[in-house]
Amino acid sequence: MNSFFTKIQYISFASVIILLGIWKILALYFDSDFIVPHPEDTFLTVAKLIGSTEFIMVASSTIIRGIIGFAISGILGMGIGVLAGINPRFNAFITPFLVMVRSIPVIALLLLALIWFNPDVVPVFIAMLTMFPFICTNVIDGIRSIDPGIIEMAKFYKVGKWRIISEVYIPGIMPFIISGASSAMGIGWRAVIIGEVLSQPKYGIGTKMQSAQTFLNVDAVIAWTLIAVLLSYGFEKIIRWSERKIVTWRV
Amino acid sequence: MGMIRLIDSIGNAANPDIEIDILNEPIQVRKMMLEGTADFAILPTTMAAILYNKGLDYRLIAIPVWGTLYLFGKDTSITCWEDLRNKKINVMARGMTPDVLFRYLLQQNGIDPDNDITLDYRFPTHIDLANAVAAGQAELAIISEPLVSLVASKNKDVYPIFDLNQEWNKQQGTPIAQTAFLVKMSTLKEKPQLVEQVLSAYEKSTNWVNQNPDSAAALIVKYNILPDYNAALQSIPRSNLHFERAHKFQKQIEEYLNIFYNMNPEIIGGKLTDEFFFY
Repeated sequence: MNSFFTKIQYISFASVIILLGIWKILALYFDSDFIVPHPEDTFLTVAKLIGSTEFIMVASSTIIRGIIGFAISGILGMGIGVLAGINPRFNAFITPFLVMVRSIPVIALLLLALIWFNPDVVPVFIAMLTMFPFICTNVIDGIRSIDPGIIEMAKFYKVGKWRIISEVYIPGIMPFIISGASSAMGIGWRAVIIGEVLSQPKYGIGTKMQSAQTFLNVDAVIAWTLIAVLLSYGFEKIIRWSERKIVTWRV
Repeated sequence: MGMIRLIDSIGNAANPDIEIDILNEPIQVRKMMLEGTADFAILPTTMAAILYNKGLDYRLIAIPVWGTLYLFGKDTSITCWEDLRNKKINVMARGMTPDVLFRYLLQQNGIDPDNDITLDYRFPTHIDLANAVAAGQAELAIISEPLVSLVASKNKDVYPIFDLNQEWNKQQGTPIAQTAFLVKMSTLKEKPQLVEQVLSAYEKSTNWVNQNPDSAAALIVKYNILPDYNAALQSIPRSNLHFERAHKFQKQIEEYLNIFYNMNPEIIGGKLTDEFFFY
């Protein structure tokens, strides 16, 4: 078992190395800092950016926007998802709305949001709207996956409504919520950063990416991208970790 | 616009050996320069400095346009810089010429661009911003000619509040070396006569436009640079079209770049340009 695990890790490690190798080859091929900068220069830029005095403000602004968007879409998504999961009529009512929100191109929402809201709110709004349908649909699926027989039985034995929710529904839908939250977060960060690139709030990773692009600092564009990837990866880990916590709590 | 007669003569030539692409945004011009497909290029002087400092093989040969930026809007109460305090002003892309130039003028007039005023970048291109002003979605905006005249012809409630070129002249005692005409070094070496021909044709064309704004405006409409004759006619005198060879104005251009360098070195590519930038 142990050797199998390291083998998997070894494969992931090899994939990162191959990726860096391709990057280095491209950098050597183009031989131009403003087409493909060298990976080592870019990592140096990452370190420089993280060490800069502005970094905390920039990164925390983006993180706060992401978390606010996530929290709003989480609360809305779970609330509406639970209602729709329990009540088929409400589900029929809400489905066209969810389908619509999910299929509107992000850029269309953005162009409208740029007109409606001030620059600090635009990324939050976009993040919220892109994350909400994921969470909502997953909650609905979660509730519908619960065996109606169990609910029937619980009702037969006159188990209280609150106990049904806390001991049947919540544990049953938890894995769905976690997987919804994790995929929502993944696209949520991207949405926040796209929003920042276009709305240009004072602080934000997207704002920094846009200025780096304007000033032709391609290494900084890629460096901020790497920082965004790390951020997204970090939050993914937090979600997975909280899933384990919740699972142990249930046992 | 200063080039319009040159464009017309190329349009009329049976076998033109030169091709002119008119693009909406400087970023699109930059792309052609990065690829090296453009022999000549016109774009903001700050961007030209970035490209030169990053090692692109282009030289500055002339300044054809000396400032096209205006503070535009419908707020009739604004008569001096102090009136701008606590207002919201829309500016195209952060870090581009209109943004940095306006920030500098604000600072010179005792207004902190980060705290005393709100600069809003939600309309990311010249055209988006001009449309927003025309539609009344932006109360105050920094926009560039010829879009200023176009917006004025579409929306009668908005008018130019400050001519940033005059304000700049008041502060610096020199016009804004805003727009750069660049040539690719290899073209300069391989076809020096062609470069001279283009330079003199461009200069003649600019002089002709200033002397014959009526006919020039008609050509500007003909080549779809502006859709409206009156807008084109108004835009010509407001655009400060004067074709000047770069080496004659090296000092002024360096001072101009130096101002931006002092604000944020990244605006001109991290360092001041050396004398080889000028040709």
